[in-house]
Amino acid sequence: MVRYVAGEQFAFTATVNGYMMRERPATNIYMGGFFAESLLLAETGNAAGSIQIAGTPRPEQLPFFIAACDYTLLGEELYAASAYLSHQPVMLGGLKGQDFVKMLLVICLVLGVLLVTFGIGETYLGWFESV
Amino acid sequence: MRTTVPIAVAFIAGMVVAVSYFFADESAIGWLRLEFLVWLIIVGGMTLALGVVSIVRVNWDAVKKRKEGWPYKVLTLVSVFAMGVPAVLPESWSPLFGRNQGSIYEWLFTYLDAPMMATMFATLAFYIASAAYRAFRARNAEATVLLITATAVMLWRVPMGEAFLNLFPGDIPYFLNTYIMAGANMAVQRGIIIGAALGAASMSLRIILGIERTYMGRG
Repeated sequence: MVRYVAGEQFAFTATVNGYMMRERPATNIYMGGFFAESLLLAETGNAAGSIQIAGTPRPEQLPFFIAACDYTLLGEELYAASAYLSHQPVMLGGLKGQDFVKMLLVICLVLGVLLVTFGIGETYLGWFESV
Repeated sequence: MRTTVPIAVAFIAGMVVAVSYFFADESAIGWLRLEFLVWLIIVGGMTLALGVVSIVRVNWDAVKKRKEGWPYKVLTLVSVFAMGVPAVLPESWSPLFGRNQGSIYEWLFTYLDAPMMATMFATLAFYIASAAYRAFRARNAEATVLLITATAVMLWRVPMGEAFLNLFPGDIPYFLNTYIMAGANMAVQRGIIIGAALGAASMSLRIILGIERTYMGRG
């Protein structure tokens, strides 16, 4: 059953931490956007002896999860998890498309670095600024 | 019906909001986007009401059956109503109602809620210390590099530490700022942000087109 505990960040954290220490769950899964509560939750889960899996797209919270959890999904892996687990060709195709766009961005970045280094990147940078 | 309606709602809402960014707010689609945002607030309000119902049901049940820790559940129920009821009553009835200066809600928020939140936040320092101790143990070469880098960056971040680093030859704070924080750290963060943004765009497209259906609780 899904239980609503609180709308406030630390009220929610205090409730979940208390619940973890009392119930000692076997597994904790933290998925989504986290702020200062990330380490409070993950360290408490670690102290409770649970296996912990975390995933967040927020880079500033990733070190906390990596330090306190057994497995951490970094950034885009969070969004790729459902596609990866479903094994559906259409969903996996989306991941492939993402990888192609990333490759394209890397090529654009390297090309930009080279052009700016040799002092001929003004027009190239102008294209991106106009976009 | 249980599948078609949510997919249709997600498709229409997603497409309208995505396409409306290319049109002015005064246009029909711009107006529809603003209307959808109002609906979003209303739906959010309704979910909060559901949350209150959930809290009351779960805690009331625990009090009735005298489950372990039931006095705390009584305190939770009293807190929910002591904070919520005076806040929604009209201010014209009494200056104690509403959410302005001098109201019951404002008093409880300032003198109970805020200090308790601050206390929870303050405990983070101890959690960081224990997590850092575990992460920075020099078990192998990579962990040792992490330990040295983290120690140097932490020293640099406090004035006394920066003064200590300046005792050594070479501008260590400049090196840390330029190559560690604005160099390696920034590059990795931007890589993660670009990947996450692409992942979010791809996920949004999958939801809008009805390919991703796990948000409905089934594949």
